Amino acid sequence: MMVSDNTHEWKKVHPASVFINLVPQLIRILRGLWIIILVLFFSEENQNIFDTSFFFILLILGVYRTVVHFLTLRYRLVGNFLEIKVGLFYRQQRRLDVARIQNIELRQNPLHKLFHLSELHIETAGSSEEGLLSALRIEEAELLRDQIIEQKEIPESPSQQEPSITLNTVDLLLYGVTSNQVGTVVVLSAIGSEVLSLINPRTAQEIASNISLQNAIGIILLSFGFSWLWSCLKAVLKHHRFTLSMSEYSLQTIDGLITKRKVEIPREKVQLAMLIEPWLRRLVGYGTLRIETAAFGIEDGHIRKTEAIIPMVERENFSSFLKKATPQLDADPWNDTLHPAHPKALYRGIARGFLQSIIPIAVLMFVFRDQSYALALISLSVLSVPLSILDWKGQGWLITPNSIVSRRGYLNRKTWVIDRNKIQSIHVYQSPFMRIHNLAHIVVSVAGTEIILPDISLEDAHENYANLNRQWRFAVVKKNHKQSSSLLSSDETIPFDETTIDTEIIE
Amino acid sequence: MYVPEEQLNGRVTFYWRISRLFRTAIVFLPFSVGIFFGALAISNFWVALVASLFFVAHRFFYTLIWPSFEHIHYRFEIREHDILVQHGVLFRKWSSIPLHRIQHVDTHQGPLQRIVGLVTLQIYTAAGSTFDGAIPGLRPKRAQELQQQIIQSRGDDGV
Repeated sequence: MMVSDNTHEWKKVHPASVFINLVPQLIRILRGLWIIILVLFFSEENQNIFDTSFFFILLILGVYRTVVHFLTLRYRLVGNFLEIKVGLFYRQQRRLDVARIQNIELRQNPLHKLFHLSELHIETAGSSEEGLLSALRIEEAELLRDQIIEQKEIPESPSQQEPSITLNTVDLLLYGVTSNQVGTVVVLSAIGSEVLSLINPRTAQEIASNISLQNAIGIILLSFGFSWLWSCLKAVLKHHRFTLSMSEYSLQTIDGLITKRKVEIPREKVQLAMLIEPWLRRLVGYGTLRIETAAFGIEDGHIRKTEAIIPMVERENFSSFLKKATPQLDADPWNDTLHPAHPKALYRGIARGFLQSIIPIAVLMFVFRDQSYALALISLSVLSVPLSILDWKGQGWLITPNSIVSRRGYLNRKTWVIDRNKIQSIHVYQSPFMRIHNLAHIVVSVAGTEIILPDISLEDAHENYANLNRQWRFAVVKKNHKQSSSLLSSDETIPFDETTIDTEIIE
Repeated sequence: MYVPEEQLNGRVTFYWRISRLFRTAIVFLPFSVGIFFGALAISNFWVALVASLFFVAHRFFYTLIWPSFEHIHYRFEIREHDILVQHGVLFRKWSSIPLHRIQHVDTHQGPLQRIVGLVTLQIYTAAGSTFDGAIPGLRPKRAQELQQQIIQSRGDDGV
């Protein structure tokens, strides 16, 4: 392998970093303090605190951070390690093992584009803020990425990569419209009313007493409208010109209008695929596919799971697409028949749904503070019963030789397909209510996520649990086998022992 | 249904009682006083008294009687390829953690545990934030044995 001479020198980020990162830094700081700012802005008394000096302090903080970042950040790639050191008073030096890197992301905000630069995020399992190089020339960033990928011994073959999926603006608008909105509206209105009554109780009282039923319905419709508009806007901004390309070793997605994101996920790191079908999206025959790794990253100041999201996939293409994206998973939840949930799980579903629907209704009653609608609102919670029945009907699970499938939810149906080789631990869970009906469910935990399977009888749960545990032995054997006999080709696997894995567990 | 073999050391119930008694005294007794005055503000004396006494009674039940039940149901076993932990009285959970996925094993001992002579064995996998497995109430010698046993069988962490 050829390594150029300057690889071992410490390298800096581009000087434009100071300027480019100032605005995002300030936004991040403002976002962190939004409640304080809101309170200061709306409070009746302490108007004088909220003056220019406050902004001035924030500005200095932002400048300080970006300048320190630029002045002190050095990085280099030595052998199998990427070393990054940063910090003025609190110094950090990190050595990232290249083999542990889960994915590499290139991001460009408009300022980056102006200077022909790019931001490089390197994410490893579990931790959140390892490896951020805020401004590199694009060639430099791509070179570094290629070097890392080369170290990982993943032969990159760009000629083979063809865009498998591209989405246009119409698709994205549809994606925005079909997102679930009810939750957002309820939560936002609850927070809004709480904040209002905290800051300015008199106005809140006035609004609450003057509200009529027609006005209330109008407000709700209006907030749904805004929420739709907002999610359409967000979808278009976030996923503008979405393309997904797949090579033999990795998946790559490129999207974004303001901030361009380029996510590269090595296939061996894929832990699970998840298909999300909110009811509106299901109605028009689409779903969203998410492919997750173990990494956590920070985006816009929020910790989120790193994943490739394919916003809109047609229903006919679900299984063929899943097969293409994750060939190691042998389950096909849309053609195989899934095992249903236990009949008695319906009782639990109904009780649970009823209790859950009481909470938003209680919030609504609290917002309107009018007892005359109470009965009407409570009768709304009866609606949760048919929803629970539909949810229960849709539930399903399946265990195949190398994957686990779980499907739950009606309004926001989700189907998980987990790679069994990535399982960290398995749990069986039983609550008192479930014990009455002799139910239990299996919880599978992979790095960073827990997936709950539908309720089944305790005996079945324990039988499946034992079967899943038997694969631990298999995994260890396979590993030892690989180590001891290096003469064998790497793709050689031991055939499954018929007795260890039982796919037809209940009938 | 498979029930793990090994139980915690019997002293653990004593440890649980004492540590919960401390917490009851420091946190929950003031809290119940708060409940009393809170209820008094919106209702009459007797309702407030019953509410706060009910809270105190529940807390003492949890502190003094509950640990015995917990001890009965807290069981674990190290098998050839995994660790099995069963715990919980009302909400019961059986966890199986494969040995080759374990990232590291901690033993820790608080001041009270040091007096009683027990340690807690904490098992971590790459699953991270979720509960992986904790075995409280082990004699230090047994904990060390277990730690050795677990560490000897390591492997691919699967992330």
